[in-house]
Amino acid sequence: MDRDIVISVKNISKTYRLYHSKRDFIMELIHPFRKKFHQDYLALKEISFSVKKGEVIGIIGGNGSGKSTLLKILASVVTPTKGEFECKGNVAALLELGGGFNKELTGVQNIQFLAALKGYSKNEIKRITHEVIDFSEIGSYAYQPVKKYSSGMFMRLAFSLSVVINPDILILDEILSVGDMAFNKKSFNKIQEFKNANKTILLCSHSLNTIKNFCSRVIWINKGNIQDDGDPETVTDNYASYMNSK
Amino acid sequence: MKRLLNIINKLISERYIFLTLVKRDFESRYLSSIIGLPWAFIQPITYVIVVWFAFTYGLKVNTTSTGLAFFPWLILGLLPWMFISQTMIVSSMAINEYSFLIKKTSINLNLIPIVKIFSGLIIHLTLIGVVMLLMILLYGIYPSIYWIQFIYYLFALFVLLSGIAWLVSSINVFIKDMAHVLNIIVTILFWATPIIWPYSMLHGNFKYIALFNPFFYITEGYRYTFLEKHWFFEFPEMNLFFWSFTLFIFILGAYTFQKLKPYFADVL
Repeated sequence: MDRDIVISVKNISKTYRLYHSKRDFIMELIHPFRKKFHQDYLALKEISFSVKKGEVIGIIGGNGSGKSTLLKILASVVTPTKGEFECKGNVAALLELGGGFNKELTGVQNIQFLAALKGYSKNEIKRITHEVIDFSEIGSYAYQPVKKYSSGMFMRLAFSLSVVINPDILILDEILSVGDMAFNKKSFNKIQEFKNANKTILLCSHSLNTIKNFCSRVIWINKGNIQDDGDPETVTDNYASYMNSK
Repeated sequence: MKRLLNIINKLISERYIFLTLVKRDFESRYLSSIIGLPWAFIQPITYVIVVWFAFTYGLKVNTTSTGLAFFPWLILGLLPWMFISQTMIVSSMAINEYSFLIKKTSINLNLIPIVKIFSGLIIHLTLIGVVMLLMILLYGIYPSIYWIQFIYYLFALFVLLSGIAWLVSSINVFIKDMAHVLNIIVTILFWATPIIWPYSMLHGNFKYIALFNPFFYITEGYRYTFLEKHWFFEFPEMNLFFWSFTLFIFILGAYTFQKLKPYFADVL
């Protein structure tokens, strides 16, 4: 494999089994002749691509096109039905709101817990906690249970954690849209910083402006296939005209 | 078999993460309420006292057929049983409980049911420690060489509970009825097997009910260890039944868990 390639995806497919009811699920489990009681839903169809170190990839596509499934697979949360992938280095993924936080625990407890799960030592956890609180600017809310957070505060905390642990690959799934202008500016500066540090970023967003501003390459996913892959201007324009023609 | 070794290997290499999970699990189980940690002890102690009261004053039992004081005999069966039954019920919900982690982060899922065993074990060991002390101070039962068997029984219990925890936690993700079924099984096993009543009450073929219950092996084992001074290998028939059942459950649990694991994030 090429030395520069940090993410390689080979023929990845993901099939979800859709059941009409719980009863169908049980029937399928116990059916003596293995009759099918589900419908297959192909969320991703044999997707292949590779990402070089330092690239900022924008992923666009309509609702239910398979963007999130792809990011979840790369974050090792969802197992692909077929195919293989490899991510080199430390991956931090920010998938949807609520990423990995226990709602009953306070912000600080959550940070400490997640950092410990990533295998950091006590001193490092102390430093990380400090930096996350600093960066997120959530102030005294850091000591409140996460369930009391607004979605903006939630995002601030989650985003701060994933940048503070300084990953090699950062995966962001449609998350920055809930922040206010001040924090968005701050987070985009941080992304820029990552970009300059030659880190790899995968960014999924419905805001084509964000995509155009930050990405060095855009992948358009449509109904589980890669519809287009390449230069941000061209791909987003194609995408926009496709969406408008619908 | 190779896969089993892999799982065990991974458990060892991730012990730091594992300990964090256990600590957090323990805290959220007991420390989130106002009274906090004492709850972990209040509940089993009340239970033991109520059962002891019912037997001593209701059914007028004072000594067992073997002439041992009733209270230590009772408590040594009840404590492991409470640990077993709670772990079974709590672990069946484990994957659902940790769905916030499973859906958003890549964590070694094998650990989660095992975490439940260990967070319960903390309380169990503390209680056993207290019981040892009580036996020495109040009943004049002093430590003997047989007490080291405790380690063996803990190990046996761990193997059995791991298998059960993997099995029930993975099934419960897809079939929520598992937890309810388990509650019934736990109740049946508690009353139908000689945990709070002596094995000698069974006659004829009924004796096999007890021998077939793997948990009886453990509760009786605690009594052999601390009170009756028997070695576990004195009963080949029981060992054979217990270990074949336990290994069967362990392999079944590990296999089911590995098979269902890829689909957890899809349905949670």
